[in-house]
Amino acid sequence: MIQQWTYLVVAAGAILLAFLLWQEYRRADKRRLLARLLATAVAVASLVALGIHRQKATPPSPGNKSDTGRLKPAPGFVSAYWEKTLPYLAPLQVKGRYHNTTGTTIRLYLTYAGLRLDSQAIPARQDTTVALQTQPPFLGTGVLQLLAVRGGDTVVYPVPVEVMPEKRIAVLFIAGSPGFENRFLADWLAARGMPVAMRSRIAGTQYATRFNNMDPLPLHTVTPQLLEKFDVVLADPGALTATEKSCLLAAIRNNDKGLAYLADSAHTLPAGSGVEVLLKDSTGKPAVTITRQGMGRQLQLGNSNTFAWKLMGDTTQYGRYWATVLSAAAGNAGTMRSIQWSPDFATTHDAVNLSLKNTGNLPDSFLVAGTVRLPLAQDALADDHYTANWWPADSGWHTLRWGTETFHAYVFGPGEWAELRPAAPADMPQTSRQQGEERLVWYWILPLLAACIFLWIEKKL
Amino acid sequence: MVKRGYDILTAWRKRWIILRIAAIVIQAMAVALTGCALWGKPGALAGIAYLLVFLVNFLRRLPDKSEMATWLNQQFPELEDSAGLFLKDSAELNLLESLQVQKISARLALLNPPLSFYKPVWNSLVMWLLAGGLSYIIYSRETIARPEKATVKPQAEKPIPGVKRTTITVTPPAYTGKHVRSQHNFNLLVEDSAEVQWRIDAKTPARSVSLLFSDSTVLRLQPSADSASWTGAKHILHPGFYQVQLDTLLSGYYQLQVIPDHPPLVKVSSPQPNTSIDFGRPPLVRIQASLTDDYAIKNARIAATIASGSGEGVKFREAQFNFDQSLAGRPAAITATKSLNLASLGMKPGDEIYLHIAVTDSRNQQTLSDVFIVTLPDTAALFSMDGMATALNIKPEYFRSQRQIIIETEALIRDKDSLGVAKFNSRSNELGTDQKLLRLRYGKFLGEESETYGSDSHEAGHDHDDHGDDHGHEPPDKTAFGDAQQIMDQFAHKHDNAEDATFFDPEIKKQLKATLTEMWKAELQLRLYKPQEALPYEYKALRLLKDLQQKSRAFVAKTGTKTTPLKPEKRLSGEQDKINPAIMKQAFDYNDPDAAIRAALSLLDNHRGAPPADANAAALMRSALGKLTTAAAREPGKYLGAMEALHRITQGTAAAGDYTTARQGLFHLLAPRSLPQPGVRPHGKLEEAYFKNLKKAGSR
Repeated sequence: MIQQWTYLVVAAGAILLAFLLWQEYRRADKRRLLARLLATAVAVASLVALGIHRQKATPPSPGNKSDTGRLKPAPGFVSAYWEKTLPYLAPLQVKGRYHNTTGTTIRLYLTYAGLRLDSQAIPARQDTTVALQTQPPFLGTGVLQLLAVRGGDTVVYPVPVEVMPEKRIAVLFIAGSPGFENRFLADWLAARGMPVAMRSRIAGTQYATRFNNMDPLPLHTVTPQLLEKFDVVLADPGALTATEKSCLLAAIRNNDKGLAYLADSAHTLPAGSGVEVLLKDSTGKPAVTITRQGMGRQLQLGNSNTFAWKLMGDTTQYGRYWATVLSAAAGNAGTMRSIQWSPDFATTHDAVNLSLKNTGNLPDSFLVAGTVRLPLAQDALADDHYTANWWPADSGWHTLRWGTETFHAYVFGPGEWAELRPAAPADMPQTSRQQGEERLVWYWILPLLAACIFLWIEKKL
Repeated sequence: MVKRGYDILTAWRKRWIILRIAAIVIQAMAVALTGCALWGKPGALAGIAYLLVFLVNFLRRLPDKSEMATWLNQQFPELEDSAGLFLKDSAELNLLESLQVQKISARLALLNPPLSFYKPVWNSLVMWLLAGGLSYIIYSRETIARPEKATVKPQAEKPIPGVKRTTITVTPPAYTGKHVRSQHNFNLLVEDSAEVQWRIDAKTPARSVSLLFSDSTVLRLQPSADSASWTGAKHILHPGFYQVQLDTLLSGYYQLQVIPDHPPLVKVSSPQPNTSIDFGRPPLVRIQASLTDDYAIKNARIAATIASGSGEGVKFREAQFNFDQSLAGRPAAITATKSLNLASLGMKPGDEIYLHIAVTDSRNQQTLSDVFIVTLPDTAALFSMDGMATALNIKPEYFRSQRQIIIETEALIRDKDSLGVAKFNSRSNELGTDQKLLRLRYGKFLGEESETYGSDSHEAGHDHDDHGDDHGHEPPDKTAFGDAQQIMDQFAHKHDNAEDATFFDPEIKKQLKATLTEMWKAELQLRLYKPQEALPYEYKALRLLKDLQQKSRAFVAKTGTKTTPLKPEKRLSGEQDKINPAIMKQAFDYNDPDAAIRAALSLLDNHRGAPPADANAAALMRSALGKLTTAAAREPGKYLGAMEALHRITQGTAAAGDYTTARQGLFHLLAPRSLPQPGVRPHGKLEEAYFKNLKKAGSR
């Protein structure tokens, strides 16, 4: 909208200038023609500059939120957020608020390579929440596009996402008796390369065991050493002794692990504070609940017949259900490093603050962005936390090398997501910035006045 | 003198006209530019329209020379208002005029056209500037807000250098009944098993011309005597794509799409899957089916199997029938009908006929319809008392009554000749009354209004509408004096009693209602003295009642078994030393089938304008290209464009739209998948410290 306004002002100025110049030129009295033409040009140019600067001088607002108290509201995002780094095959969720100030419906489309993947209509004159979702098709870095379409007008918002490579979740099954549910799930996981171990009680002290994609381990007793090797434990509540239960709970409380209890007639889904509903069934009743336990999570499943879906041939639903449940149970297990950057909508020729978290070993003391070395500053209190300042010159995805590790950061072009970006660097004190902008605006009054005064006096002479 | 002046004046006029025409042309071009910016190429038509309108308008009213003279007089005072004299014949001039001509013709020759003379040109140049600025704004705005095009237009085929002319003759197979056609495009859309003949005329004699197909077969074309014209033919059995090789020159890829021939389609609208023809109804089955095929239906038959007898003595007979309609014309779609008389097929009550329709199309592909069963129920079985003794009886006497009515109706029909008409009619009417009473008794179960309901003052069967006027005049019954309920009953109209309405579940009620309808119909026929026609309804009512009796039996569904977890303290507590539990160990060689495609998509997203540099990326691209090629051979219409685009990208000769096309093609290759994956944000020391402090605070 700012660009449209600029074009509009420039076009109107050009027409006005042409008209005025023509009038000056045609005047019978040809004295001081050049000076008059010059003065006219200066007057119109300052007028146009005034118009443009007025529009740009919006008060800044922090972070990824735009300011709502604008002089002339244009349709656009008031806020927007999405996870810029996603696990493999995880859904991308773009959320935010869109303020439609126009009198027509605006449609938002989440697209990839021109293919529409999700859409939402924003009714006229409404400020609505936006929630768009899709599974990014790429592995690595890529850019989806969010289109805001009003009639024939389209505004493009790039949505950069990095999809991390596939990881394995190690799952331990503790079953009270051999059953279809565990068997089908273990088969499904094993076929996808996940390490799976299963212990099913077949007699008082005897267990049938199964190991897929991993070396056999003694499973007769549940020990902290054993649990270290797994990210998620799926257990029949009745199959655990009291000591095993406390051992399991201690393990998930002190580690980023998940414990999922299979459905059991004796255990109903818990409710109350601290219990989140992860999945609901078709009637809206909770089907899977999740409870925080220290650093880990405890899940209670409400359904132990999911193998029936697979028997019915509904493998997609089966896969989605277990992907959701096991991803939630696994948490952030096995992840060592991550990168974040601020501001959210980093632009070229602007400071970008990179923040690295590294729980593994330290590869190097600086980051390399292209040919530029960015020295890393270690945080004084959290020594696994590093920051670096970066002034990117190009937009798009950038590769940052840290020794043998690589990270990716996205830099937006100057016109992209403009409404969610502060007009000036956020760290500049607010008062001085406002004064500066006002001076800039009033500056152009002077040549305008001077030119007009000259033209007026010239006529009187 | 006059001549010279006249010439100058004419020259001025000519220049003026040329200037004006030039101005109109320039303006038209400006309009065309704006039009192009707004609507693309068709916008240029606006400029042409502008040109035509203004040019015709201008040419229609060309200024004549006297106007020119007037204009000159107005513009140049030095001509002393005498320019008009040049237009006169020199002989006609008087002395004064000729003197004036001499005086001003010298001045005329020296005159320069004023700036306003060029005004139309200036104006149109300003118009040009405006149009240029406007189109620039439109264009630059469009480039900013120009998303990637969703639809990829089918690209026009590039001609192969060295090929003068191509003629492809497609001979559709006989089953399609289509004529031979020819085309000049290489992209092919042909019927399954069609024969395609290529004829390629080269500009210069070639050494060899061959067609390379996606299934790696090569068709070498045969040259004519001067090796300028090459021909070859091939049967197309499956889709794919192909290239033309002219000596060593390879063309682009061309689609080879195949229109499959689907087996015929049968949609039977009559009879129903299970039909039973009640006793007394004409034993006719009307078969109606709509048969459709892509090209032609060759043959359609009804295959019937008749089962007669019961128990172990069932005998089967097979028969085949043709439809009434002739299929000699090989129609692509037809509504076929046939009426079968079961009696003429020798079917007796209790027999069943199983029907299906077999349709063959012109390619000898056969479709069989579902099987339809038509039953002639055995009325004798209805009278049997089997199962009555053990079943839950709803109201046995009612069944007997219905049965009784049937027996009496049959007796009446038998005795029709021996009875007189009057007797016959009165007995038929009596039967109707019996049927009515039976119906009313069942109606009570449904909560229907009983016609004998209410006090004595009500006549059975009277009309509802006369309640209002009658009741006011009736003298109140003395014995009932003070009985408020009775007085209310007189005025109240008791339709359904809540208690009656809750006897049965809705399903049983529905069937009871259907039974009552049949009884109504039977009663109607009996009252019309047509017992013969009443019989089917009576039978149907009886059958429905019998079903009702079966339904009221309780049904307990079989439930699935689920093993409960073993309780080791109670069971399996014996010696377990000899138990050797199984250890299952298995490793799966897992490879994500889509990983290469997804990684290639990421590469295409980021490496714009240059082919991937490093070896790893190039290998990924090759792998993605291989997958696209396989897909293109399967569905050339969908994937061939993307395959060519990716091919150009790997060669480094990609056009602007190729990246989008390639990404779209690869995107469509992806199958929906989901996989459990851990999150991407590690727990750091900050979180650990927070957690520890939280625990400390909790324990304190």
